[in-house]
Amino acid sequence: MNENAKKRILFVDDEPMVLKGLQRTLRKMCNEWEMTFTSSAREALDILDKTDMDVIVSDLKMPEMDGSQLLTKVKNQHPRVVRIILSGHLEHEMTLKSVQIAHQSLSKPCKAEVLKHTLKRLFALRNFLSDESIKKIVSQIESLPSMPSIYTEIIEEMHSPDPSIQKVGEIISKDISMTAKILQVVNSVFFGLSRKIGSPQEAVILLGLETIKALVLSVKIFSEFSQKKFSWFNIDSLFNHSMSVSTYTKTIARHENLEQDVINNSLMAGLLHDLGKLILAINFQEPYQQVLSKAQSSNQNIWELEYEEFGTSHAEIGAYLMGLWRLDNPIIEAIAFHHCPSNSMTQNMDLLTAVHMSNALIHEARSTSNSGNGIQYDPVYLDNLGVTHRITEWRKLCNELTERNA
Amino acid sequence: MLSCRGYLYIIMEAIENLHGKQIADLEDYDKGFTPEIDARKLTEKPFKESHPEINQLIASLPTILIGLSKNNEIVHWNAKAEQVFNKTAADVTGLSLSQCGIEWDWEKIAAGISRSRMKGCPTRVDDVAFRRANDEEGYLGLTIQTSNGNDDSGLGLTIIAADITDRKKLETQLQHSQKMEAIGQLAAGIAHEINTPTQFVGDNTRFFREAFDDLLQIIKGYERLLDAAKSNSISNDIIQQVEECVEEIDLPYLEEEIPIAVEHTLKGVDRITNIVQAMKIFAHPGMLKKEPIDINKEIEKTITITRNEWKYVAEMITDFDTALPLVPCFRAEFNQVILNMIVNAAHAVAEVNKVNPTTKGKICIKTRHEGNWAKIHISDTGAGIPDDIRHKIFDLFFTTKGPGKGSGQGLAISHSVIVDKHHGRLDLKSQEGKETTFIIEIPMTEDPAEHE
Repeated sequence: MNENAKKRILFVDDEPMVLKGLQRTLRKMCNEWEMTFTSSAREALDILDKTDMDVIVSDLKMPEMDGSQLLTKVKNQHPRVVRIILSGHLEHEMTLKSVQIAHQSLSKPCKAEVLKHTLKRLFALRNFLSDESIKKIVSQIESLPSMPSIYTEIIEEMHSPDPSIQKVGEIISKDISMTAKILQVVNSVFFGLSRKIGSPQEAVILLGLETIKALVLSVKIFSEFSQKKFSWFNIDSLFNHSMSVSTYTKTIARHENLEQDVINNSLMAGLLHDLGKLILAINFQEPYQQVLSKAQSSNQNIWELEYEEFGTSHAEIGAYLMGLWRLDNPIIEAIAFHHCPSNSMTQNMDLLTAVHMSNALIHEARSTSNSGNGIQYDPVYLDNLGVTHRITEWRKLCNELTERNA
Repeated sequence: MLSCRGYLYIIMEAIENLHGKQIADLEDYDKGFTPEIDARKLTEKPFKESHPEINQLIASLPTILIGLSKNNEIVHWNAKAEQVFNKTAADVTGLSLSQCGIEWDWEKIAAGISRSRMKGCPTRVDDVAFRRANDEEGYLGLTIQTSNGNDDSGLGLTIIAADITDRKKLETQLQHSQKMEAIGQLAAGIAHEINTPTQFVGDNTRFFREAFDDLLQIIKGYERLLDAAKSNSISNDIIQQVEECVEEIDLPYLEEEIPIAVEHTLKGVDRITNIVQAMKIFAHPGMLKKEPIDINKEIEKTITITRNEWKYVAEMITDFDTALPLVPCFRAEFNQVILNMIVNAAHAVAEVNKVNPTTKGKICIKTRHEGNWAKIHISDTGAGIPDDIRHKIFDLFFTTKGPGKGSGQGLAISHSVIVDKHHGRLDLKSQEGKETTFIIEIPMTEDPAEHE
C-alpha cells in the first residue's frame, strides 16, 4: 500500500448525530483521510467487504450487533484493520471484554484533537511494517504467552484467599507478555487516566484487585507459554536476556543522568525490546525455527537473518504491536531501533541509546566468549551523539552489575 | 369499673397488635363473644377478684394501652404509655386525649376515632407522627376501638399503640438500599446517555469555532472588496482572492451544515438537560406525607433515566390517560416502583433479544383513571414469568437474575410501597414465553377509609 495514499477510516455509531459531529469536526482532515460513516454494524461489515479500510472506530453499545461483536468479526475477517473503540459506556464487564478485542479504546466525550492524535500515531506506526501479511498477524494478537513459572505464580496468587496487590505487581513485572498487556489495559483511556502509566506495579494498583482478578481469571488476558509445543524456542534465555537488558538500561540511564521520564521508562523498554521474537516464534514457527538454527551455526545476527526471511525483524514487529497497544512513543522507538539506532530521528542520548547499548554490551560479552567480531553497537550513531568515549565506562558498569548479580 | 370483657378485649388486641396481624379479625372474635356476655356477667365476681393480676398483666405489656371513659376522660394509662410519652398516669388521668399535652398528630387520631365510631369496629391508624420522650420525631401505630354504647364496659374508647419508629427506620433503610442498588445499576447507563450527546455537542462546537474563523476570513475578503468599491479601485486580483477564499472554505457546505449543526447541538443540550432533570427523582429524599403528583409526568421522567436500559432492546410505547387527575402518592417511593418495573421489563426483553437480536421487543406503559383508582399497566414482551415461581416473585431476596444483576429486593419493595404505603394493589398477569404485565392500582383519595 502506498504510504502517501489517503488513509481510510470507518466510523460506526448508532447515534447519527455523533457521526455528523465527527464528520464536521474532522472535516479539515479530508485531504489526508478518507472517512466513511455508518450507523449500523451490519453495514460496516458490508463496507469492509468492499473497501479496504485502515482503521475502524466503533461505538460499543449498539442495537442488533454491539461493538465487541463487530470488532471480533473485523478481527477475524479483516485482521489488517486497526480496531478502535469510541464509547461513552463505562459498564465494567463490557469495558474489560473490549480490551481484548480493540487495539485502543477512547471514551466519549473524546476531544477531536485526541482522536486525531491517536489516528495519526497509528498511521505513522503502520510505516514500521511494510509487509501486509505480517501486519495482519500482528493485528490479530490479543495476548502473548507468559513464562510458565510466572503464569502459575500469578494464577496461584489470584486464587489465594488474600491476594496481595503488591505481589501481583511484582509477578507481572517479571514477565514480558504480562507487562505489555497490563500496560495496554491500564492505558486504555477507558480507565480515565490522563497520564501514561509506566509500570505494572502502578497499573495493578490503579486497576485494583477485583479488576485484575476479572482480567486474569475470566477475560484471560494472560496465557501460558507451552514449552512442549515450542521445544526449539528457549523462552528462559529470552526472559533472562530481557531482564538483563532491562537492568542495564536503567543503570545506564541513571548513570547518564537522563531525564526522569527516560529512567522511568527504561525498565519497560529493556524488558520489552525483544518481544517481537515471541511473536515470530508463535506465529511463524517453521521459518523462525530455521532462522534461529541458522543463527546458531553461522556468525550472522538473528535480526539480519530475520530480514532475509521476513523482510523485517523482531524489533519492528514488537514495536508495531506495542504501538497498536498504545505504549509510550519513546518505548516504541527504543524497541523498533534497538539494533539500528541510526535509522531513528533522534539526535540526543535517550532511552533508545540506553537500550541499544545494553543489548549490544550483553551480546558482545556473549559473543567474545564464543567467537565473532564482538562489536554489536552502532559506532556511527554513538559518534554522532558524541558519546563514544562513554562506552568503556558503560561496559565497566554493566560488568560490575553482572558480577554483583552472579 | 371496667368489665372483664373490656380487659380481655384490650389484651387480645394488644397481642394482635404485637403480632402485627390484621385487626379486622377481631370482629369475628367480637361476634364470638356476644353469646358469652350474659354468661360472663354471672361469673363476674371471680374475675373481679383477679383484678390486680390483670392489672399486673397489662402493666407488663410492651404495648401502649389507653382507656377513655364514656366522657372521653383518660381512665387508663399503662406503664408503656408512661414510658413512651414521658407522662405518668397521674399526669393525664381525667384529661381528654386532645388536651393531655402530648405532641402528636391529633387530627389523624381524631379522624380514626370518628371512623371507628361510625363503623363500630376497630380501626387501624398508621404512621401517626409524635414527639418521643427523647424529643425526636417518631411514629405510632394505633388501633382504636370505640364502644358501641350498648355494653356496660364503662369504657368509651380504647387505644392500643406501639412506637413503630424503629421499624419504620429499618423499612426506610431497606428501601433506601434498594434505591441505591437501582441507581448503581443505572449509573453506567445514565453516564452513557450524557456522554453521547456531550460528544457531538463538543464536536459541533469545535466545528463552529473553525467555521467562524472561516466565515470571518470571507467577510474580511468582502470588506476589502467593499473598500475597493468605495475607492473605485476594484481589481481582478481582489475579486479573484475573494472567490478563491469562498471556494477554499466551501461556503455552500457551511451554509448548509451550520444550521443543522445548531439544531443537533440544541437537541443534544436538551437531551442532557432532560436526563439531568429526570435524575432529580433520585434526589427526592422521600417525603413523610403523600403529595398530589402527576403520575404521567413522573413515569415520563423514569422512562428518560432508564432509556439506556431499554433503548437497544425495546421500543417504549406510552399510552397515558391525559385526563388523569393528580394522585396522592409518596413521590420518591412511587418512582422507585416504576423504576423497578421498567428495569425488570427491560431485562426481560433483553433476554429474548439475546436469542433474537434483530427484532426489538416492546415495553408498554398505560395509565388510566377508573373510578376511585389510578391504574398503571406496565407490560413487556419478555419471556414471561413461569407459573411455578409466580407466587414467589414478591418475596424479599427472591431473584432469577444472575449475580450482580439483582438482589431480589425490587419487587418486594415495590409490593410493600404500593400495598402497604399507598393502600393500593399490585398484580401481575403473565403468559409464559410471551409477555408480562404488572398492574399497579393506587387510590385517588388519600383517606384509606373511603375505599375500604
